[in-house]
Amino acid sequence: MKRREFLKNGIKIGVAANALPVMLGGLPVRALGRSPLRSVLSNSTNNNVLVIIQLQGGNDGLNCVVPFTDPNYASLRPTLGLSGTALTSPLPDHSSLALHAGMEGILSLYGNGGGNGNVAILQNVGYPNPILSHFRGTDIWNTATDSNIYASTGWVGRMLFGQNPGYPPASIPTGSWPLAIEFGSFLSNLFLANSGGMGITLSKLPTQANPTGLNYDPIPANPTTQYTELQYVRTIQEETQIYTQTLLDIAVKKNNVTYPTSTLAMQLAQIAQLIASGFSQTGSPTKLYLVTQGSYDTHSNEITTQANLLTDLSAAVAAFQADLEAFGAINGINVADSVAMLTYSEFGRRPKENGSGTDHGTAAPHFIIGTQVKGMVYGSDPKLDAASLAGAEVTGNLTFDPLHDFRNVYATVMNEWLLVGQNQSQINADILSVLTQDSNTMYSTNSNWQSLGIFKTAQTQYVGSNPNATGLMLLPNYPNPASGRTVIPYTLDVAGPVELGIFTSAGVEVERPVDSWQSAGNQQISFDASTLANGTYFYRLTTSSGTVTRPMVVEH
Amino acid sequence: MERRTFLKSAGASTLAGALGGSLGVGSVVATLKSSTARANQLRHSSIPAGQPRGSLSADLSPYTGSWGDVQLRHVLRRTMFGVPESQFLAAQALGSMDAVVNQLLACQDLTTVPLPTAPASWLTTFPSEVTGTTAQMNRTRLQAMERQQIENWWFDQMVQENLSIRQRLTLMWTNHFVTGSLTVLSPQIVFAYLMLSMQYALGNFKDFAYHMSISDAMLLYLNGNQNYYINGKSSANENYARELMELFTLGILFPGTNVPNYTETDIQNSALALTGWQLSNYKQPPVSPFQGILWDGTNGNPNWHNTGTKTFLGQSGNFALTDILAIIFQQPTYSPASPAGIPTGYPSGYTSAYWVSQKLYQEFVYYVPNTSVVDAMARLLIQNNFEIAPVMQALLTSAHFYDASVIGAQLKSPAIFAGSLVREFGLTYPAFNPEDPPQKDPSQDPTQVVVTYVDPNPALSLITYGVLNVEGQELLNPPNVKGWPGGHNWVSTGTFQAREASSYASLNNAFSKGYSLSFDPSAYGMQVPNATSSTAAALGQALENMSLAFTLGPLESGDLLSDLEVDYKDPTYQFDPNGLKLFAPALALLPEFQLF
Repeated sequence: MKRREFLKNGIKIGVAANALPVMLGGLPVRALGRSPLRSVLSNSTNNNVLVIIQLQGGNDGLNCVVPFTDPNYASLRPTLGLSGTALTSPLPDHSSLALHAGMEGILSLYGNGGGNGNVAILQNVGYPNPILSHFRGTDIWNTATDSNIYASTGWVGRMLFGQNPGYPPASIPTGSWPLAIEFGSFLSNLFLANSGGMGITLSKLPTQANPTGLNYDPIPANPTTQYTELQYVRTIQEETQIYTQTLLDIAVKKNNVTYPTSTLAMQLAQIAQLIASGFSQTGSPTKLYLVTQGSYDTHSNEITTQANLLTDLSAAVAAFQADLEAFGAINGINVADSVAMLTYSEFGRRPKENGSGTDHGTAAPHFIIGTQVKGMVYGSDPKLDAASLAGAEVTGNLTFDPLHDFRNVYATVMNEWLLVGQNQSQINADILSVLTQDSNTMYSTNSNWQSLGIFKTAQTQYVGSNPNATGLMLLPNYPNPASGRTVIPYTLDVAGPVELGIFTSAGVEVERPVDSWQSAGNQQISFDASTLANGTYFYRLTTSSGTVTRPMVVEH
Repeated sequence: MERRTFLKSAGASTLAGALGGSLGVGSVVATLKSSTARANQLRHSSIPAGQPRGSLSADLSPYTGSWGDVQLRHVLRRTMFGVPESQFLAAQALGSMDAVVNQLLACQDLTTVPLPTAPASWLTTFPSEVTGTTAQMNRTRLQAMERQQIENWWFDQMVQENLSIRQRLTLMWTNHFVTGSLTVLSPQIVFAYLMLSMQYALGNFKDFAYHMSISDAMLLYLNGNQNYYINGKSSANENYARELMELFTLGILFPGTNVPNYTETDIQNSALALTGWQLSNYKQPPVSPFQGILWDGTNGNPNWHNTGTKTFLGQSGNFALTDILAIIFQQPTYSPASPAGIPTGYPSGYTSAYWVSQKLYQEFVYYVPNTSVVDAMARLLIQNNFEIAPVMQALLTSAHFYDASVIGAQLKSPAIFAGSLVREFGLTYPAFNPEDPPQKDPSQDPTQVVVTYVDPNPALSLITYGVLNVEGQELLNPPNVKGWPGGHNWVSTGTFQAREASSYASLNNAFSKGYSLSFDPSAYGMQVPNATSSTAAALGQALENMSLAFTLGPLESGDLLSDLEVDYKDPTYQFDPNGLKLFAPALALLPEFQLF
């Protein structure tokens, strides 16, 4: 149909008060008429999908994963402190913690923990020199920088651009899936790369095609500002049209379970449909999803507000997980085994309440959820004693676990989930380019990121500055946590001088069990941790071909 | 050959000529590809390359070029919600740039251009409390309907406004001193907040900040009313203290540096200084519609305000709100240096003046600030003791503002987009009906205890709820305290379809009859002087000039012209509503119409 006809015919459209323009139907699509180019999408070598759930406003971690047995908790929280029926039963494998009572669904996914559950709880996630502003804090988490470094691109955007360096193509091929989908109105900087947005936003799954207009005159060479903006609008129009059509054309798989009615649940339900529909076609063309929930900014009325939010969160996540599992295998791909969820929030909240709420704080627990997660609690309970709070970087607040720097969480997700299937040196280089430095920008002065061993893929290798040290391996110590003697196995690729040092989380070397010339091959040492104080340590293997570091927990 | 086909090939050959000259076909294609590639390098750029390109004047030196239609339409578009031809002609009759800008800023003087009056008594009368579940549920439903009518009334004000910047500034301030109607809830308090923003739209920023700090809406939204000190025990709530500095007055970092303007300790101490403010009182008539009450000890709560010594930005004393604001508006101070590391040589008040000027620049010029121009604006703001009007006067008469690369470079917010549709295409709807008080639905079963209220302004609700909300800008309810992010965020895949659908539906009269938003193609065309005696090409050009800040190329203008000539049968052109009926939605669907 020619455009003129579709415009002339007009369409009488009924409008319901609660569903206005989105009810418009039947608008024909007119192709932009560009020649299709090669696809630069879908180059991933695995089917893994990550659903990122942003808890906007700063979730109060202490009233989410509750250290209810710590007497300091009750004294810091005389009115907000949760106990009794305000809590779930204690975690089966971690009796000092219980969840907020609204989180029965997540507790159920946690199961018996001990590495066998579907919920990894990472304690005290944060970063050095914490920022207590919502907006700067959100930017730090999205752009994954040191807190004094400013970047305009997001870690997901950088990773996707690394995988799809030609994106966006000169013309987006018909039938393409977006690389990433966010539910919302405005594209998060999480999805921005230097070339622009690597994902799209949707308010909901489309029910109609998008009309396109005329043939367009070309943008002038060396365009002035208004023409670069015009090109931006044309691109958004094209993306809207192409991706809308893609999503309309897929045979949408129906949800297997009834979801709760919260916005978050409705969005997760649509993501489950998209994931399953994707597997029924060509694998999972869209690997990254972002949904947001909030506001968790509970300066007042926290008891009610947070309970509502956590209840919605937990119920939505549980329904989503049940739905994924009910899909079983599609085209030989187990759906639930291909999806993981990750929560984040710009900060945790102040341990000491303000009367009816809590002000902005620092570190907080976060969740990684999925059947491929080694579910249990990672890291120690938050330190709420007066001396710890007084000595914190921001007085009165929690101190983050250096092992749980949020960039290590991202490194874990990349190393053990999103980039699985590439060779390890490529993964390491990719992670460094996302989290430390690329050709444009430095994001962190740190170049030692730690994969935390959260996923069953167990690619827990060190991500460091020497990705070429193939054959050099440092394995997890056992037992871990250590109390007395613990064994550290490692493999040397070449003979030569070897150092193996034990470091505190602050980087101070406390022991050096190995400092000698060793031959290539498998080695191990038995190290006595009984003299070390409780806490997280690192052991670092330094050889002529590279350096590898791993974490170790000492708990007496 | 069909006319459209002819136009396409004509356009293509023009293009090929321009790009390839006498080169062979293959070379032309290659040139086109590389041109596309170049455009694509630019098109996704999320952070544009900094300043508008071109020979820009990087200060506030006055514009001395010719005062033509392009410049006049630019200043009107940038200060209002779309520009109907009648207002363009009225402004043209004023003659000079200075006369036009003075007219736009005349609302500064409330004695001659007073605030619009509240159309209904329920907007300013606090209702008595109700008890009982059903009564409270009905109150909640009534309040939701009333808040919807406030949005409707305000959008109507935007559309009805004559040559004036007031509603554009008001919208900007509600995106600066942000509150959220869904947190505030009380329609009366939401309305008082809107009127405060309108009152100070071109006023003194320092006074504005003071009155905003103690407005009921702000006390509710950022918990100022829960920041108190009772019986020697502090329950300081830091929410307002933080955002006052981070978002409303200072910004986190000193301009051009990574030096923080304040510390966490400054937030905690200023929170103590701000203790004690309570609502002007929901249950009683407020002392003034705009003002909160500081519990002064006479109400049996002598200790709600902390009277201890607070150290704030290097100064110490028994500070309260006025002291905190005074110290904020002194920054940077160098003795004592607070905080350390701020570069020397800046005038007192520069930090706030820069922060506010940047906001004004981003709203009225381009969303990526030009730091030199913002610097000049900040210094002018300080010279004028934070009066907004002189800075706007200077900006709207500056050479920078009229630079060719600035014109058409801003993305329309949903409100501006909807305003442009309504005003430029002449969409009509029934006059705003205040319904004092809002009425129960007469068709409702009288035995039902939960009341349904009738929306007295369905066409306006279609715009404010159905369109603006879906496009990401529900009036008086930004997503968070930082407000709508603006810039590229206004146009995203998540909202673009709603924009196009709203253009398409409204200009095809495709909404259901009950919504009574209507488009008259003939009246649309008749806005243009001598429309009935113009050629189709001249009429089309005039309508393009009204709505687009771009001069269209041959492909786009050719397609539009063929729409306008749809019933072309005679070499003598006749004014043709059928052509306009096709032309209008085609124009509104152009990406150029998203820009202004």
